[in-house]
Amino acid sequence: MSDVLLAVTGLKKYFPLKKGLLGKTYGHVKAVDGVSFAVAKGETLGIVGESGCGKSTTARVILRLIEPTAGEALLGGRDIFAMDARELRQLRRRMQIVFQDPFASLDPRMTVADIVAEPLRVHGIAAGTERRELIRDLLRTVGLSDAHMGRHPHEFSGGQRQRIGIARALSVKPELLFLDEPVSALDVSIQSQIVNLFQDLQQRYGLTYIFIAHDLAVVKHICDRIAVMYLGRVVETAATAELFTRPLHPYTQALLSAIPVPDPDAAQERILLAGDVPNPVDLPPGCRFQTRCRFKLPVCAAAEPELTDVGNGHCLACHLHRVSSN
Amino acid sequence: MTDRLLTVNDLKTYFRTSEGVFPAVDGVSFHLDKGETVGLVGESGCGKSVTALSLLGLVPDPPGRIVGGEILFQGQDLVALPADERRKIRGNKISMIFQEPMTSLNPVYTVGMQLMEPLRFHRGLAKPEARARAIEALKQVGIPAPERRIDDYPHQLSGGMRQRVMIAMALTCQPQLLVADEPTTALDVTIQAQILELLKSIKTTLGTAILLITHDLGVVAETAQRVIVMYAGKIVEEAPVRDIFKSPFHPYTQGLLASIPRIDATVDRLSTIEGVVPNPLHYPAGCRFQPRCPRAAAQCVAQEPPLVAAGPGRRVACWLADKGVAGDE
Repeated sequence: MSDVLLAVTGLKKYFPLKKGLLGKTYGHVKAVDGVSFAVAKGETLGIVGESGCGKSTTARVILRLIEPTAGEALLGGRDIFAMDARELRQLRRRMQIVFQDPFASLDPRMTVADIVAEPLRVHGIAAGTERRELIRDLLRTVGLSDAHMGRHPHEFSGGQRQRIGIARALSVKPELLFLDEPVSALDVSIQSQIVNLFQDLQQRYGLTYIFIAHDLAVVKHICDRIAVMYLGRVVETAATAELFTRPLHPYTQALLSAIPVPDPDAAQERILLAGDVPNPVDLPPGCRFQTRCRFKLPVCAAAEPELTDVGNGHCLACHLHRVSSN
Repeated sequence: MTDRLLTVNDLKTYFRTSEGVFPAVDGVSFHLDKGETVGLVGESGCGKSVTALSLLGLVPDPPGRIVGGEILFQGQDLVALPADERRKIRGNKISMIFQEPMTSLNPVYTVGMQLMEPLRFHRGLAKPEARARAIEALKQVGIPAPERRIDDYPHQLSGGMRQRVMIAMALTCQPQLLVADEPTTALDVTIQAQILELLKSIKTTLGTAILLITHDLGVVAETAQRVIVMYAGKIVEEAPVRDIFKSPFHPYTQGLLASIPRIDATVDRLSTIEGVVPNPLHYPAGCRFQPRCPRAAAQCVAQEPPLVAAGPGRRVACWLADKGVAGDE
């Protein structure tokens, strides 16, 4: 891959489970358990998976909002996890995040101008009238107006709040933007406005996106490449068109077939997965998906499949493919 | 008509707030036949959930109240019924499943106790009998080892399981009408697929009519026979499911369908409906969609369009649709 912006290898984040008065650790929730991927400059990587698969935790660890358990993440060749506090501040100018819930991620007591100004203040970018001018530009960029500067978040609709969150993230001119379910809380007619805004901003500023979502139709629309996660691991990655036409992992196949299509005549063959996602505290040995897999082989219970390239940058962690291609 | 189950006429449910009266449901009329699934779609604040709560008699009063109209269920007007009579119908002949399976089950009672409650209350069953029926109900919705699960508390179950328990609870008294308010919105897609399959099988095995409230047009396409589209407290369009998706009449329906990204097609840019839903305290003059409508004409601002028949099984509230303008693609 040319021009890799972010390379993540073997990323792990375990949350300890404690009990008793002394808080003895008796186990770990393996939220992220060996995740590797790379993002090229200017591309949009989608991370999809169901709740609890570790997609949001992955983003938070890379941003160092929480500390990793193991692994490496290189941003433009520099190890994010080895940085000290000063370097970390510089890092935050290069990476920003837009959160899912526009109702919870904006301070209700701050005005819009203050919200957007906060990152500028923290990083000492511009001052006085220059800063105000900058804020005005940012708001216009995201489709809001000067008149909104003195208002508070509660005066805005969900879509407008999300625009404020985007303006805040853009204020420090980041290269990489994590979008954590940025349109899930929005109505369909508003969702498309925000999706279009993301595409415009990417073109204008050459941004790189990591788009985390569970809505596969939105992901398909906006992403160049997709990584599918299941229980803390990436099980498949491929270019978007490739993944949708030739999904190889049984989980990806089921996930794609489960999306309801807004066409009453669509003849859909649905793969219904039995049961629920296993508890991430005690995972089955071997492949994590084996408890729900239609094609389970004896080897699946014995060894965990590694993510390997099966051609054209299509990576897969499944024993099935190796067995059938041998 | 013999198989008419529910007729809603000019239903008005208003909420009084400190800033004024909020007409959440503002003159809604529709019907439901026995055993059919009707999708009620619209964006947040359009009044779809308040319509559901009105059917069940669960509108919080104060601040809300049904201020007009009638809800005829099997010929009986539910609006005029005293509270204790309504209670005999709720959970018995009409039941409801809610969006949030986490918050709509009582955390301090076991699943079994919550399942047995309607049976004991409505059917007067003794405990062992009610328990046997509750186990049966859990089995019906596909919960493994129901004899053990019945003694679990809600927190011991996953989201999908809880939604199954909710459905089992709603079905224990074999209702004629099931109101499902966003039953799969809080669930993951693979679990959603399981629950939709379950709802479809309920319809065929029990013949229960379902009013499915959702914002997900994919879910509607898959489960409903008829679709009602609401906007700003009013019905703007109603049609058989195929017609809604193939030839929507109302500009709002058209806009909605065009703005969703699709798994079965690729476009460079999504189309949008400009602007936002109007403030219910200050609805615009004339058609409520008019400020966002790409085709709004003088008449749309001057006069509110009535919901009128527009072909077999179809109704639309749009001045332009009547002239056959909105029908072309």
